[in-house]
Amino acid sequence: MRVTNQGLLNSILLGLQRNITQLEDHQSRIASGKRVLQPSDDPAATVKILDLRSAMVEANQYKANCEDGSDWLEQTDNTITLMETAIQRVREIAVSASTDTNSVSAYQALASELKQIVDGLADLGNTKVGDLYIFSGEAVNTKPVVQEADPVTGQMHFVYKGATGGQASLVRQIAPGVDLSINVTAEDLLFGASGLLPSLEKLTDALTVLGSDTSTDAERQAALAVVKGDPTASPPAPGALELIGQAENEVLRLHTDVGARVKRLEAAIARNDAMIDGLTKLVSKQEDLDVPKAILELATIDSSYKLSLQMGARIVQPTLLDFLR
Amino acid sequence: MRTTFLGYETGRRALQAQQLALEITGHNIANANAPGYSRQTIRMEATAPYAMPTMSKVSGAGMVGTGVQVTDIRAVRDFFLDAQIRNETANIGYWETRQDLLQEVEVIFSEPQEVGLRSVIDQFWSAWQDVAANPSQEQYRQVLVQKGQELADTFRTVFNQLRDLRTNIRRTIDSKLVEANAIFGQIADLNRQISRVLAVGDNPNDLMDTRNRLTEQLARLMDVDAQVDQNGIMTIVVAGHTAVSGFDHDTLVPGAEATDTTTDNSLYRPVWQSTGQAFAAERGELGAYINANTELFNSYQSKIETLAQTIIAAVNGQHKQGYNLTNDFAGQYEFFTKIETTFAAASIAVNPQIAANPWLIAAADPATDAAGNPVPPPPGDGANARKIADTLSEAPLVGGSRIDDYFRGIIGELGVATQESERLAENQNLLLTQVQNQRTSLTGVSTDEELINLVKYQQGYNAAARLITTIDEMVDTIINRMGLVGR
Repeated sequence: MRVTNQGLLNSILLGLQRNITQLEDHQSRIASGKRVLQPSDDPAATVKILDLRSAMVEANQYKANCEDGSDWLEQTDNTITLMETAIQRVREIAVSASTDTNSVSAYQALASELKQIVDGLADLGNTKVGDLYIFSGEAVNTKPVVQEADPVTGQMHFVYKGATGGQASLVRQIAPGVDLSINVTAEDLLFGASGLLPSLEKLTDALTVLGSDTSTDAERQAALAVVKGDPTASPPAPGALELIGQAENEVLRLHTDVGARVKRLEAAIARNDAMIDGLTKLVSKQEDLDVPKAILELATIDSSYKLSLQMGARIVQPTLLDFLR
Repeated sequence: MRTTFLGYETGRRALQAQQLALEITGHNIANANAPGYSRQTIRMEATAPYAMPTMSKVSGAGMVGTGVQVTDIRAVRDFFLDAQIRNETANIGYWETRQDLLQEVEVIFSEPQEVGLRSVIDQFWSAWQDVAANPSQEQYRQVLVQKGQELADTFRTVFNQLRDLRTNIRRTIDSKLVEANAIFGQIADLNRQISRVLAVGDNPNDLMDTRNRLTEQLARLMDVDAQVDQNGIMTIVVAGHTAVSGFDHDTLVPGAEATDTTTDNSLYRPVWQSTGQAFAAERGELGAYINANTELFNSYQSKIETLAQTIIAAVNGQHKQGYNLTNDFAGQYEFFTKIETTFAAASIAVNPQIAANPWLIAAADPATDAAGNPVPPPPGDGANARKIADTLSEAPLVGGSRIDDYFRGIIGELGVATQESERLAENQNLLLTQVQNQRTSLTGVSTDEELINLVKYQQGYNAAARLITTIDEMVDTIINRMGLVGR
């Protein structure tokens, strides 16, 4: 093979060009710390990275949904605990009221205490997280427990004003396609199946009658029937203690349910945390540069670049002219 | 009897031949670095010998030589390697151009960085989830509007950048045509000059070098087939069309821009002036540009359009089924708007009414009262927003794929295509350098070789000069010194 100057120079240049291209490539990778900067760097890894990133956004979102739901449920949990304490006291009042030795003034004291507790329970029913009522179902801006005059008797009593039926449940998506209700309504806790507030209102009224000097005997008789129950009625009317016991059971059932849901959310948060952790590692594995390895490679390329420079310089410089006289 | 003065003539011929050889060596050295130059060699031959005149037979030693003459100045050329270089040049023109264009597309998509379309689609989904969780709080609705606007902006940016890239491609094609047409013209001109020189029996080496170099420039632009006939006339056939024939050449003119919005000029091709036929280059830079104009539309621009249309249809469709929190709670508002007469991806925007009043976002399911009449939904109802989020992340909307799968497909395809063009461009580069080295080893100038020739011919020249001096001294002896007896 005949070697010509142009051919020689071209070969040297091509070699240098390839070396310096590799140097530049490695330099930009090391500078960014990323193995994949463009889809063409590794198409399969790029698709994987996009997939993992989307999965990470999802996991973060579901985690946020769970944490948001968990805030609500914890507030609900705390509020129900307070309600249970109140119900404990109510039970004591009912026990006291059921004894036959109460004086008028004792009934009066019990009546006024019970009234305070009823108002307190109604207030608990109107608990808010931020600006939102937590026991009002989807009607988060509506105060759920309000006092209203009875259309028939004109007497003031508590009613539920929040959302009912299909709108009673506030839902958070905690995983793809998995919806979890994060609330209980004041209707379930204080009205409805528990019937707590109506029962207590009735008891308050009865105790007020018993605590009044001006009440007639008939009124007293009726009031005592409310307090102690009336086994002779048809159907037999349960006493206040029995009603309170029913309400307490219902509230306890709801409380347990809330606790279970809090646990479920905690598990979901932990699962999402683990997932985010795993995904972060996977993305890093696909995307991040193995820096020591890259630096080692860089050193190799660098030395081969220097070698080819040195060799080129040696080959290019001498000509026959240096040796002709 | 021989003439006394034959030696002078032999010396003169030797001097002239050596001088010419020195000049050719000089020409080679001067062009050592000229691209496309083929080294020239000189052929010297002994001139016709001088036979001793005689009546019947030779009376002395054989035929007498009369010196040297230069019979040929020839450039070293290999037509096979020339054709191979043109072929590889067309390939490298194609792959390098394609590589550049696809790398630009990669920049437009900017994946897998956190600034691309995937990222905004994910954030848009998250914003719906947040509204689903907190439909009664205005700030989440505002964030959703913002994320919707970001999504629309990103769609428009990506789509328009792809479109601009393709418009630039077509402008580049048109400007490259000027270059190609100039080369056609120059080759036709050179055909004329070369055939004239050949007709008088000379070798137009430098003109042929120039013509050859022009075919290689042309090969960078398109697939070139060059054939030289016995009269030295080169016929250029590009992409199945005769572009230069004899002293005439055809011209490429820009094609017509389509006004049809469904193709967006993706079928653009220049045409031949003589026949009006479309220019069918498959290789070279022009082949790459013409190809890319079609491919970038089909593989990326129109897929982004499909994606935009899908997202608009999915979000709007579900959005219209929900109720919002304004007085017009059942109003079927569109979340995204677009201009029907143009591409959706180029005109997508968040409905200005919703942008102005985020309470119009229909996050809630339809609500009815006991009698079945529509009533305003409770503010805490985010069921419809949740359905929209589910649609975006789970529904097989685009040809059986979910939105993010479809988008990943686009990016995967782009990565593979770019990687392929990078690899092939590098391979072609190596291949071309190899063939070029083969050719320079044959036709290139080696300065060492020329320096040796320089010394050789100089010595030859010196020797010839000495010959003349010797003859001169001999003749001087005869004329001036002979026959002096008795003077």
